[in-house]
Amino acid sequence: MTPPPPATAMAEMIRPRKTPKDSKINLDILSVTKGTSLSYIALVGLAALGVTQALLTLAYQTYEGLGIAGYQAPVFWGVYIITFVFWIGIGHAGTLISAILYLFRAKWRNAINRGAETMTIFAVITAAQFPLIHIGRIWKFYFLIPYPNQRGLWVNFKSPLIWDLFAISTYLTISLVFIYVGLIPDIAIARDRSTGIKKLVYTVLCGGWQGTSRQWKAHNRTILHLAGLSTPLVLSVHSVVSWDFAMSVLPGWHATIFAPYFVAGAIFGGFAMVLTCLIPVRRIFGLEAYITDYHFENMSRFILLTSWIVGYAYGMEYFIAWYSGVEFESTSFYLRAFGPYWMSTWMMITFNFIFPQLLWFKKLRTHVTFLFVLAFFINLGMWFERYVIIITSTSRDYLPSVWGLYIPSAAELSILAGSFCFFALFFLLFLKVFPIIAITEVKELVIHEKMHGEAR
Amino acid sequence: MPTILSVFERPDHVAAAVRKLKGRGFDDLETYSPAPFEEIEEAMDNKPSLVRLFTLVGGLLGVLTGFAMPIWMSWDWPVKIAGKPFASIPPYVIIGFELTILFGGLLTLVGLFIVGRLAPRKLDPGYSLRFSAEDFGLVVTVPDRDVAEVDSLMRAQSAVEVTLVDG
Amino acid sequence: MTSAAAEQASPRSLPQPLTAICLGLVVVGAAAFGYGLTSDPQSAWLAYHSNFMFYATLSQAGVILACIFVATGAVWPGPVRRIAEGLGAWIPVTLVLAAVGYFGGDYLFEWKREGAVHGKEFWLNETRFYVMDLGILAVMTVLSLAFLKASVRPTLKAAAPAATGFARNMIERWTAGWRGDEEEREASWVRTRNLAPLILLLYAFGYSFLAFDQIMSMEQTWYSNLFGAFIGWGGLLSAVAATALISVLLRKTPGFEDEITKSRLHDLGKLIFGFSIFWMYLFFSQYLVIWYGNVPEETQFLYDRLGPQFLIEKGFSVTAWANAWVDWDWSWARLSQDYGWLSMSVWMCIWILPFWVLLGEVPKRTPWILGPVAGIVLVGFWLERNLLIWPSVLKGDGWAWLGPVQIGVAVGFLGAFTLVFLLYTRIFPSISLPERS
Repeated sequence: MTPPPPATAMAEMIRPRKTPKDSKINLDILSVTKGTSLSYIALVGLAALGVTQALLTLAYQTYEGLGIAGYQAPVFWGVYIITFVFWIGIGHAGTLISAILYLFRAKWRNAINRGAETMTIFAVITAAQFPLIHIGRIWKFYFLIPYPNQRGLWVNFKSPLIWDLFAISTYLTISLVFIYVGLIPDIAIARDRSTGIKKLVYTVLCGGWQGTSRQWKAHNRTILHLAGLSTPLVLSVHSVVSWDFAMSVLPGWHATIFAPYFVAGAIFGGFAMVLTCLIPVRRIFGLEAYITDYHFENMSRFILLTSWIVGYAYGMEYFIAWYSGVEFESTSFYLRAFGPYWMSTWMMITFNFIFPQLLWFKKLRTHVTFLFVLAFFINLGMWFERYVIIITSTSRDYLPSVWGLYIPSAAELSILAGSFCFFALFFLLFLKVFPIIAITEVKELVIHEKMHGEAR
Repeated sequence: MPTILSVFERPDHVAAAVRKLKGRGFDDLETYSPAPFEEIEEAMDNKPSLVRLFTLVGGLLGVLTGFAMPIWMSWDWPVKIAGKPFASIPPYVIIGFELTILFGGLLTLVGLFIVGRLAPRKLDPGYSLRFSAEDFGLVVTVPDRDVAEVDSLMRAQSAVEVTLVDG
Repeated sequence: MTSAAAEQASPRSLPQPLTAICLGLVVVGAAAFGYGLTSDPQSAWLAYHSNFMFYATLSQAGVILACIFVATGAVWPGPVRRIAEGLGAWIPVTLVLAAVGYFGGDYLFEWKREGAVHGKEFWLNETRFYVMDLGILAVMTVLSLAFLKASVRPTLKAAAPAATGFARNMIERWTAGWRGDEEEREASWVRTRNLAPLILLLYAFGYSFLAFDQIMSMEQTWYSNLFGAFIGWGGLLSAVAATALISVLLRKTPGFEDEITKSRLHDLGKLIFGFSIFWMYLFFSQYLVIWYGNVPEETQFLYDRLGPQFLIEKGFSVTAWANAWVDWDWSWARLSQDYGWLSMSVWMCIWILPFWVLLGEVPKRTPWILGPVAGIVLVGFWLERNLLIWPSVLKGDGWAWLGPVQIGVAVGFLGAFTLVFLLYTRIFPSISLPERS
């Protein structure tokens, strides 16, 4: 482009400014937050209804006691703990996408990281409620927190449950920090394009962001450091959850492979949940230009990889249980496959390991409907994986005389359903407040492309 | 002194313009960019960001707290559990690790606000919403006599628009 | 890359002093092993076995690293991938060494000497053991060689004129049915891309079973289901370290100056750093579960290696640590007993040192820091293989793994491995890659 002739006087420089047209990316992605359709309101209402019924159940359970949750010797860890582990696991894909793939400079994360992080936040918040629901006397929850008290007691730091408290609160905090830092420039975009009270809120939240070089530099560094911190954090969180089980000497629980196995399973299930959330969002809001086949292809590869790690762990658990020659171990694993809970076990193996093998086919890796269905089954399979681990081991202890049978009660299922509604409710609300795709990160790629396109 | 705003369409043009201005001795500069671009940041200031210090301090504080707290509490009310020492290191590694991350992460956020000078305040007069679209802005404050020169300089650097900022 | 550079790095004669030294080392190793067989066959075979496991995992993981580069479509490695592939030249030797190991089986495996403990006869018996392990190694060898062939083939035609003698024959055989540069590059890309996931999966499962058989079964009653993954990951980290070390050493060789860039060293440094953290994570996952549960059949393995202080009340408490620093009294740690020092050295070499040294960006980019760190990691893994193998047989004797015969065998293995690597890199071009535009 040829530069215009230099102005010779200051006066010439003051001329009416053109109003530049807004970026298409901004318009496309911010349009998600604008307006509410009838079906959106219906969905929110439905989710709110689900949460309400769970709250009522919870109130009843708090009044009546944990008996209504079917807790009975020998099984005292039931659906609440299963669901807790399930939701914590779901939260892992978000951090993986935003932190680990950031460190590996995998640019394909840019369009999906915000959605995945959002999912992480709400999944962890959902999960964090379950230990409270599970302890029954919710008002005694503060006993877990180490603070100087008149009881003169400190918490037991050798208990995995205390590790859990630290791991999960750290994870929630750091995930919030991460998503917030990533949101700052995007909030500034929304601020520039809104009015009234909304503008005020956005202005406060984005801290006067203007995209100056100083701000970007600090921002880049911050993201890098948070990514560096979150990567080991994401490994630790589900490891700590797995140690809730592995620290005991119960057959089927006391396994060294538990930590990496749980982490891989968490990433696996988390990716499936990312698909479950993003496929409808992409379809409804017409974001096909941003979340493309390429993203689905890569997520599918990750699901395939992690399904093999999970499959490896299943295999090694069975092999070593047999190889160990320890009667209790081998019996425990035999009963998993052929005992009263055989259906859950085979569902877990089929959904988590066999079905994902279909992703070897390139066609299926980008077939959105197929992926949505597959993700549904994986979610189901991952829930049953935790069911198998927790229930089979507690119900079949060392002594056959104290064996029992556990069946989820209506109260538990009501709260389980409520947890999905809670998650959906907040995910839906988030869509209308903040951009679900990281605008600046997509823009970065687009501007790079534009530059190199011009250069050619 | 008047402030001149130039608008660019490409980050490399901004970086080149910044270098030109700095070469001429105009140091009162600010850029607005819709996305992070290394070339601009390097042209403006190539020193490493101070955010790293905050992370380091936070991490160290965290690891200290994470070990000191459980150790002291275990000694303050000694209870024998599973035949393990009162204050045993392996499980406290977990607490120490989590707090390292927690404190490190939180202080990094503080670092972002301090180093990036983020605060809910009035925006610069030169800033406008086009810089959160896809345009790049470069404002420079120069003495009256240099305005014409800067104008021609910026146009030569393929600025698509050069204007004076009022107020 | 210029064609001149390619020619320089293409097949040529072996570097003379180095080859002679390596041959010398091999002779020393053979002599030491021979002497060991007559004087103390158990130590000789244990040394053989430790070295065998170290180089087996190292070389196979070299190919695995290349497979990972291919499967992830990583473009940054460039000729680093060739170096990693070069480690794989040892894979056929591994197969032979594993077969030779049969003759030392009685000294290594209690179950082979005296029969398996009750309940494990079906798994721990000679037929199953050797058929399965040699089978795994044979399959891995075939697949790895197929991968290497597919990977280097497109670069061979250009290298053929410079080759002489044996190398020339080899290259001619490997380039039979040449279809033209472009087609070959495409075919190589498709072929490696197809083989990579298969080899990765087989490594995960095959080497897990090798780890169970070759190391875990030495202590018949011990079991840990993470052990296979732990060994496999250790192999991968040692391969990354070896690749980094060789990259640093080759940096000044003609043809490599522009290829082993600072940014590639930086990436290798990052890999060592991250992989070492993950190695520590795997170690901790295994250790914590065993420490906490304190189940006899699990604890024995750690007890033999780390000593009692890491498992029972007296040691590994903050009180003990504090007293140790105040009075400089480390007797509680009992490091000089059992394999304490060896365990601590492994921990230092593979985790503490790489973590703290490679934490920043500058050390990762500095060859004279990255090189030694990579070397230390390798030494750490060599010690680790010794640590895993020796205490299963010679309990309590913390220095049994060190001695003239042991050092001789180690030196012989080092010489042989280097020789094989040199041969491979001198026959096959080490720089140009079948780049896909």
